[in-house]
Amino acid sequence: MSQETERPGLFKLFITSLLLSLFAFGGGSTIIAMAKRKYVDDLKWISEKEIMDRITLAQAVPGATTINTSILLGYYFRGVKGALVCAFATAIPPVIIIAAVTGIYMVIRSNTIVMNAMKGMRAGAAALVASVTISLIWSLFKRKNWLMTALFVIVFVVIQFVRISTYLILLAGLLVGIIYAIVVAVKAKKGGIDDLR
Amino acid sequence: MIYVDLFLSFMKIGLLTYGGGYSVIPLITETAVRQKGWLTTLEMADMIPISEVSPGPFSLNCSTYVGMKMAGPFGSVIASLGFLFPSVVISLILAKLFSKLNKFRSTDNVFSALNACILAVLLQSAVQVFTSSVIPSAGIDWIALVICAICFVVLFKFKVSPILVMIGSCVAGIIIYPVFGF
Repeated sequence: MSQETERPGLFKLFITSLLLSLFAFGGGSTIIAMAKRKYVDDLKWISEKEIMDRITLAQAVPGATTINTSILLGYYFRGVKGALVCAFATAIPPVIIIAAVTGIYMVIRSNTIVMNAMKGMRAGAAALVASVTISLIWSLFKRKNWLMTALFVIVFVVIQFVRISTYLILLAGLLVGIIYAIVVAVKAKKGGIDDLR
Repeated sequence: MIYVDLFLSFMKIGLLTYGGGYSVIPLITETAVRQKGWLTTLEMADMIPISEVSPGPFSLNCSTYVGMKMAGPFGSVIASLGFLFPSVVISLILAKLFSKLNKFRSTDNVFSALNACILAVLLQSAVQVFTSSVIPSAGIDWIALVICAICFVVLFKFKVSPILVMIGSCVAGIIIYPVFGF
């Protein structure tokens, strides 16, 4: 009854992650819902709470949330080896598919039908990016954190007039976030609330 | 060398892509369009539907697309690996610290300011993507404007899957442009 037998084998882990990634059209939320059903309900490798905690943490890591979730889960199952196996298994199907699609697209893009299809899809993509952006801004406003709302407005206005590298803006945002978190934590401590949940 | 350049560029992009895949758009614009000149604004606009309709994470798909366009299959793998590298390192560190980190309220506050900045650059990108698809050259492409408006209403009001919207706008483009003699 050692713990070894309860942990999934690396090969099984690789195949499971590969298949999850391959059939997860629609990215982020779809694959996470599928992973929950597979790992929690079918395979019983992890509890509902453990998987939810890792999905939440994955949002805080830079990069693709799906990949980050799979790395955190792989680490939970089999340590560093499991994490690497899950990361590659999740990345391989989309990399192959996109490389193939892009290769075909570069060859056929001067075809009239393809050009018209791309024109239509570019218009659809513009709508998609706009709708995602607007709903994110809306939820920022709804949070009623006026400091952050002001930061958003100021940064947007400034970049209309001054050309600043996107990287610098995000690094500055991270720095402001750290200062803000410290100030909030210090204030809370004075009010007798500990930073620990 | 292009491979080293791709790897390092996408490592930088991977390090600062936060809060959902779309924040990769302003970063790719900065690096691949403005600094390196790897993509034109139209090729950048094409990256979005291609990455959206294919399975897998949007941001990773964008990296693969740029790598493939610049240096073929090997380039696509290199760009993707560069994009994944920061994720793997940071996730592994966080996985070790997991039980401690999850207990602090402050963790959320650190990201609130970063999110506000991401939204500002994302809004900028949304405007650019809109402009490059609806006003591609001199004048306004009215057909694109109508397709865009319909897609926007459908997405915003009815919460339809983005993939269905992409397929719909693809079919609309194929049918409507020839009807008006393009």
